[in-house]
Amino acid sequence: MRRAATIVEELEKYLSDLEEARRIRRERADWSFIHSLPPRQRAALQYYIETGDLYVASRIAGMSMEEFNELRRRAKIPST
Amino acid sequence: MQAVADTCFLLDWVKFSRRDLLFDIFTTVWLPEPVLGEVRSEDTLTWISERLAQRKLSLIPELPELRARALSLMTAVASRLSIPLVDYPEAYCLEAGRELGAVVLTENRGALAVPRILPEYSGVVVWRSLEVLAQAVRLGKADCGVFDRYREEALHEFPRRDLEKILNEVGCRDGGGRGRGGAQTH
Repeated sequence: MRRAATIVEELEKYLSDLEEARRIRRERADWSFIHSLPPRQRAALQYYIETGDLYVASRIAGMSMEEFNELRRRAKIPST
Repeated sequence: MQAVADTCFLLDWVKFSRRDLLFDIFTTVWLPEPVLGEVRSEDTLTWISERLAQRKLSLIPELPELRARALSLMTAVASRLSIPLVDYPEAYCLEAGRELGAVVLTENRGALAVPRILPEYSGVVVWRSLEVLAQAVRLGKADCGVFDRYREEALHEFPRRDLEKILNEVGCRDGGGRGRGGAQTH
């Protein structure tokens, strides 16, 4: 029972943290820069803003993770 | 103390002007080979290759056994919790950390939750940059301003509740982490 309660608490914290992080990424992003990009990069940044998943976002963009991280910085999106 | 660094941790950490603080805390930081493959910039590659030469960083090859266990971990987590908590790079680092008895360095929240959710991973220690910086403050290697400095240089935001807890723990409640954005502490 304690294990189940721990898992529920952990999941609640996980989901709450994810929502806070998503809000920060949306608010801080330079949307005019993002909309000026080619479709693949734009889609990758939008995916990153929603999920924070650098690995999959870099694959959507067709970049290495470091190259995508530089694009993230140019778009003023904090990693969270 | 040893550590295994994940890509998402490393790519932010290398932007930090005090990135060598890592070696004030860990005697060796292991880099899985797939992590190295994601690095392209000259600055980062130079830093990594110099630290590899100094034996502060060490490379872990992508081993079939760890790869298989990482894939099992991904599917185990997804089937038990109905959410894809970890991707392959984080899963590989968790397995490497478990094998080596090393602290796993990642920014992935799923990876952070795994030891608390899966009993077989309860012995794996997972730290983010937040915990690394806190340890640097505890050891007297950095002052309270290090949290804000990291946020600015790495363009990184710490979860508000976690930051507040750490600042209280290390006695920085009034001296650090008072920057902008969603992670404000007041």
